[in-house]
Amino acid sequence: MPKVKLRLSNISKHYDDIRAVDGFSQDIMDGEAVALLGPSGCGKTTLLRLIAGFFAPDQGTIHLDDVEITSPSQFIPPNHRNMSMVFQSYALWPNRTMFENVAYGLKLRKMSSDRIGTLVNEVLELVGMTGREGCYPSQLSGGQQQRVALARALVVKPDILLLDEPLSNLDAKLRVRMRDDMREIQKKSGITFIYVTHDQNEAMAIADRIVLMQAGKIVQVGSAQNLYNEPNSRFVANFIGTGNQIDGILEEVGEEKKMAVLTTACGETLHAAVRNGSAAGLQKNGKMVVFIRPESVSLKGEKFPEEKNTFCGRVKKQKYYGNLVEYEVQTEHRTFIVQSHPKELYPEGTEVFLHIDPLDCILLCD
Amino acid sequence: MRGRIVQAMNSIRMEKAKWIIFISTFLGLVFFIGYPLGNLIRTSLYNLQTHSYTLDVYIQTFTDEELLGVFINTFKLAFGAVFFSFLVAIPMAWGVARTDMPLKKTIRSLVVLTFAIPSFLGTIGWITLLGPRAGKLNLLLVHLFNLEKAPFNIFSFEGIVFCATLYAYPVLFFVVSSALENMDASFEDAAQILGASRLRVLWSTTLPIVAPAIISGCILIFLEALVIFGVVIFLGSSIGFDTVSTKVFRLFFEIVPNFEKAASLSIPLFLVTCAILVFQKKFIGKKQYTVIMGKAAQPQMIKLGALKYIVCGYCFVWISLSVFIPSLALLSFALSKMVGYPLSLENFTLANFAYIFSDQTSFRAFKNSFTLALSATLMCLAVSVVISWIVQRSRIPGRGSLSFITMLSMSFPGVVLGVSLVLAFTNGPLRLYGTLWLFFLGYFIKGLPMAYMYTQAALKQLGEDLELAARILGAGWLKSIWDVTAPLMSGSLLSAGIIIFILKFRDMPLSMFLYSSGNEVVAVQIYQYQEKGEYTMMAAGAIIILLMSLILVVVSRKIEERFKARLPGQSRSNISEY
Repeated sequence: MPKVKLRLSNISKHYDDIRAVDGFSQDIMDGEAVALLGPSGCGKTTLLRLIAGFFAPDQGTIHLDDVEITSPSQFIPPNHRNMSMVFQSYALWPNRTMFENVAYGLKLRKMSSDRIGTLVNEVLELVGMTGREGCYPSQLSGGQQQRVALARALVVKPDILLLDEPLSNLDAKLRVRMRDDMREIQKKSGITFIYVTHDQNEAMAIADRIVLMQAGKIVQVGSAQNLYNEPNSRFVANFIGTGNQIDGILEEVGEEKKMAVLTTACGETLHAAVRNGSAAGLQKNGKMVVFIRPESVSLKGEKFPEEKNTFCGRVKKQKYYGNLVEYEVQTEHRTFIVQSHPKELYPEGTEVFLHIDPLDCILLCD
Repeated sequence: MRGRIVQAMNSIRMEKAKWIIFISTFLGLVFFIGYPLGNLIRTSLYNLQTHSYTLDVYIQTFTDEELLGVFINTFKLAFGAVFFSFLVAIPMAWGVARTDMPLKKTIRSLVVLTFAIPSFLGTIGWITLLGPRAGKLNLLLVHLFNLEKAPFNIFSFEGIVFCATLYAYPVLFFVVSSALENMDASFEDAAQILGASRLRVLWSTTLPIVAPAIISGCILIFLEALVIFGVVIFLGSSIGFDTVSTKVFRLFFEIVPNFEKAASLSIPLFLVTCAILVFQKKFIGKKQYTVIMGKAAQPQMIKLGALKYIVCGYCFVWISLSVFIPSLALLSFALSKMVGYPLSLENFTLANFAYIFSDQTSFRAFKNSFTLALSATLMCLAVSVVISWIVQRSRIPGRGSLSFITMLSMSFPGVVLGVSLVLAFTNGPLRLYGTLWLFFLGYFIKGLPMAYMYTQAALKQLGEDLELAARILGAGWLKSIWDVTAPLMSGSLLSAGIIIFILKFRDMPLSMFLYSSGNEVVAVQIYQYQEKGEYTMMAAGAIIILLMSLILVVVSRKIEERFKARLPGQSRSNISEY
């Protein structure tokens, strides 16, 4: 059973009238990779900087390994927290070589130069940057600078590594490669990662657990799978991935409270499976939203044998992405976004049939 | 509310050392900048006969026709300098920034050299050329064209405006040429692709975008010309032309000094300067549309055809008038045994330079200026680094007050500062008049806003993350400043230091007030040579200052270029910082 590495209790921070972080509480386990995910201005970077100790919260406490590091009566400055950080700008010192950048933290720890040399070489090997120790940051590419920044943060063997949108300055392909490498390094080193990002794909690829934030508060915590498949609100469902939303009124919950039947404003009937935990909030005639992921909609050129949740429409737009095809299908009352395998293509204007398995319908209270 | 108190308590605990530094800096600035200003206002309001505070002196000042004339002269000169600088600088800036004119780099570098020449030395150069009786150029023209009398007289209002313009226009040139160069060309491209003609693009797109820069540049020139001292004291004395600066000087050093009147004339000058600076900050500063991030599209160069040689010639005429001609005139004087004879082998001597170094008073003046300028510069840099750091990097409430007081000292024209310092530190709590300490203080106060602007800009470029990266790796805040911020700022500090050093080394208006016998500095010494009619000595002294300034300006530019090349995103330097 892993122990709690960092405990954040009721943390709040204002800037004038804006509540950047509002009563945030969360435990982070030893060796865990946690992503703080959310739109711009949701308070994730402020929270990361409060953890680092760059400034103090208005209220709340932070414990690291059961030691109080931030509270109204105690404030350990950042240089005594044994954390390190990878900045969005990398913050590599332009007047120092790659070696000097990485060795800085070790020098502060008063290590011998032989030991520093060994540790720097080890970490540069880990991030795949050996052989360019004498280069200045301006002589390195964005991806290489990013690796050096990571090496500089890792070499001091921090208790926690804080990462503030470290991949946002890289191009799309490099970003994907770096995030995989970073995940690999995290697993190898076993260091606790707290990773701030606004990119849901990055969060899903890197983190064991995602903390989704909005307006300084936690809206949902869970694994990537959990957040994608079982969002607890329309905001979460929309933020993690895309989907079709259908508003309706709950008519009945049948089949031993496992199947909800809804009627839309246009008079269509929708069946949606009731998942664990969501049955409690269901009320007859209550306003509900059914959220359907684009890949959960089946599409065919002929009628489905099922009667429930089937629709007939025409392909309005077709976007071919190579690994999948995305269609906009216009039915009598709405437009559906559908993603399917490209082995069979339906040109624009073709009549098609849609079917949604009730088990794939995510039922949310409005 | 409770949260805010907790936050404040946390800040206090965290930043005890920062608070001590903040409070001591604040008190220091209030004492050395706020107190002299307050004392100046008090003096202007205090009636010595009735021992009460009245507005009598102000009423007398503003009803005295002679003094009103002085105000009119001051504004006439300032507007004249702005008008002619505009005519000189705008075509030059446009030619350098946006046309295919040849020798653009050379022209830019030569205009930088104008900074090496203080206006009072340039004026002396022009006196030797266009003096009505012995001016060499006048004599030559009389001889060539058989004229009855000298065609030009530099000792005139026109002469004063001419000399003021020669040394004021570079500011406008740099501000406008940088704005034109750094402007994102996609604005112009967008107008052109939508169907606008070249002329329409210039009128409807380019001009509105660079207009704030033009206005800013004109304001800077206006402020400079408003308080210009050397040019007026050298050219205006013999024709009875005074501006507020020179009048204050005369009132102050009359046989029976009139301190109250001098103070009452200084205050309006201070207020006008403040008002203009506030106007510039509020209305112009916000309208800077130019892009200086280095990512903008490069502007197209306009092909001028044969006209490019005319524009180039125009630039060289003005550079010659401000740099080459007066410098050569001074050099020929400095190398002459006798004034009034042409420079020939018989009349050639180096004795004037030898005299400068062997004469005790001159040598002392150079030594004093060097020591004072160097120590004041170092102090300016140290204090401005502390202020910039507190303002930008700490979260101490009220930290903006340091910036305010520092920039307040920018509104002190040299003359006003001189009067304030002498009044405040002659009989006050700290008696510094008659010592070099008063010069040190004056140079420090005058240099501080410039040092602050440099350090603030340099610190802003660095970004806080560089320092925080050191903090989280284990460095304390002082260690992180020492290890990260200080080395990265050293280039900017060095070049700022050199510029401040040059300006203080040759400072004239302030030094004329602070001077007392035995405490000579170079500008005062040169003024005294002129007063005594020792023109060859005056020219030799001027040449030494010019050479020193010239070398230091070039060194400073080299240093800045070298350091800027290292920082990311700094490839396009902004020379308007000078």
